[in-house]
Amino acid sequence: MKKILALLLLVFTLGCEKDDICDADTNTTPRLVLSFFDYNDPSVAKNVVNLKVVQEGREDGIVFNESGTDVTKYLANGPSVSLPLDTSADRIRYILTLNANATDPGLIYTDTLEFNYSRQTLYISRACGYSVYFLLNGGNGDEPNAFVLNDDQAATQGNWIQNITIANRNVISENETHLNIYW
Amino acid sequence: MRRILTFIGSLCVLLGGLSASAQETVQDSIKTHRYGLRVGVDLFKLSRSFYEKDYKGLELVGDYRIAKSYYIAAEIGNENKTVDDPQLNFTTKGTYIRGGFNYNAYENWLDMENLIYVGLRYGVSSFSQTLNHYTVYNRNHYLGIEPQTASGEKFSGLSAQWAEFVAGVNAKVYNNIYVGFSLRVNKLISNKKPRNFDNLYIPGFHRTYDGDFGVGLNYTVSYFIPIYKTKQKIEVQK
Repeated sequence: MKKILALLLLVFTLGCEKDDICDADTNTTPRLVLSFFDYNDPSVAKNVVNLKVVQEGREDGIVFNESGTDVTKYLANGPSVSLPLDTSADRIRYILTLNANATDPGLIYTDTLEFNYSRQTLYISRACGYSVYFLLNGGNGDEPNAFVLNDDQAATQGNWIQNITIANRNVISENETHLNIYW
Repeated sequence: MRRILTFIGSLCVLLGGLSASAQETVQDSIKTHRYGLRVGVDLFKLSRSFYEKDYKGLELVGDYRIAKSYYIAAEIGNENKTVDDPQLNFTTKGTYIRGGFNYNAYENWLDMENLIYVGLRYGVSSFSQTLNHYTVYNRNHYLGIEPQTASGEKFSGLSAQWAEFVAGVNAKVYNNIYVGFSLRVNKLISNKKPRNFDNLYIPGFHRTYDGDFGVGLNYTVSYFIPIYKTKQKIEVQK
C-alpha cells in the first residue's frame, strides 16, 4: 500500500511539473559581436567612446547600459558591442555613432554598417524551442559582402572606422568575436 | 511500533484460539480456477478524448492466464496528442504495443477472482510528429518580440522502445466483468529522434522530460472469456 501511495505521489508530482524554463546559460539566438582595436597597434584592444548604435530608420538606440540615464543607457564604452541580427531577413543596417553625446558636432563621427548573412533555424530544447544562427556571407558570386561600410562594397575605411576584418563568419555564440573593427 | 506489536500479539492469540476450536472439524473444499482471456478498454484514454480537445486516444488491454498466479498481458493503443508549449506547438500521432506479464499477488478466497498484481512490459511505439508552429527564442528584443512562425513540418518514421513496471488491481464486479486500474513507471531504452526536433511526446510512453523516465496510468473495464477450468482441493484447517 505504501508503495502504491508513493507511486501515486510520483504520478501527481510529475503530472503537475511546470514547463521547464529556458536556462539563461543556454546558447540561443546569438547577437553579432564586434570587438574594437587600435588602428595604429592592431593587437591592442581599444575601448570605444560613447558609441551609439541605431538600426537605420529608427530613433532609439540599442540599450548597452540598463542602469544608465535616458542618454547614457544607449552609449557603449567598452572593447566590444553585441548587435542583434534580424531573424526574419538576411540583412540589417546599423548606424554607429562615435562620441554620440558630444556637444560639439565636429566631434561626432558616424558610419553606416550593413551586415549580410544567411540564417539557419535549429532546435535547442523543449523549453527554449528553436534558435536562429547566422553565417556571414563569404563573398561568393554576386552575393553582397558580409559587411558593407557606408554603402560601398569595397570600403574598409569610413569616418571613424579605419579597418574591418572578419574574425568568425559563424555567428553561433556570443562568446566569440565575429568582426574586428580598428579605429 | 509498540502498538503494532501489541496488535500482532492479540491477533496471534485470537487465531490460536480459532484454530484450536476448529481443530475438531475436518472440512475439504474444492476451489475452481478459471483460465481464459480477459479483454478490455482503457476508460481513462477514452474519456480524455472527450474532455480534452487536443487529445484522442484508445487503448485495448488483454491478458491470458497461464499459471495460477501468472498472466501474459498486453496493451495496444493509438494516440493523437497536440502539445501547446510556450515556444512550440506540435502534434504526435502513433501506435504502440506493450507486452509482458503480470504476477497476481492476491490470494483469492473461494470463488473470488480478483487481482492485485505487479508486472513488467516491453513497449514499442511507432509515430510521427508535426511541428505546427514555433517561436524563435531570442533574448534580445531590440528588433521586436519574435513572432510565431508557422511550420507544418512533419517528422515521420519515428520510434521508441521502453521497459515498464506495472502495479495495479483488477476486481471482478459482476459475472465476468472486471474493473481495474494500473500505474506505470517507464524507462526509455531506445528513441529514434528526428533531425532538428525531439520526441517530446511518445504514444504509449507519455510525455518525456529531459530524463528517460515516464509515467502512465490506465483505468480499464474488461470482460473475461473463460476457456477451461481446473479444480484444486483445499484442505481447510485440518
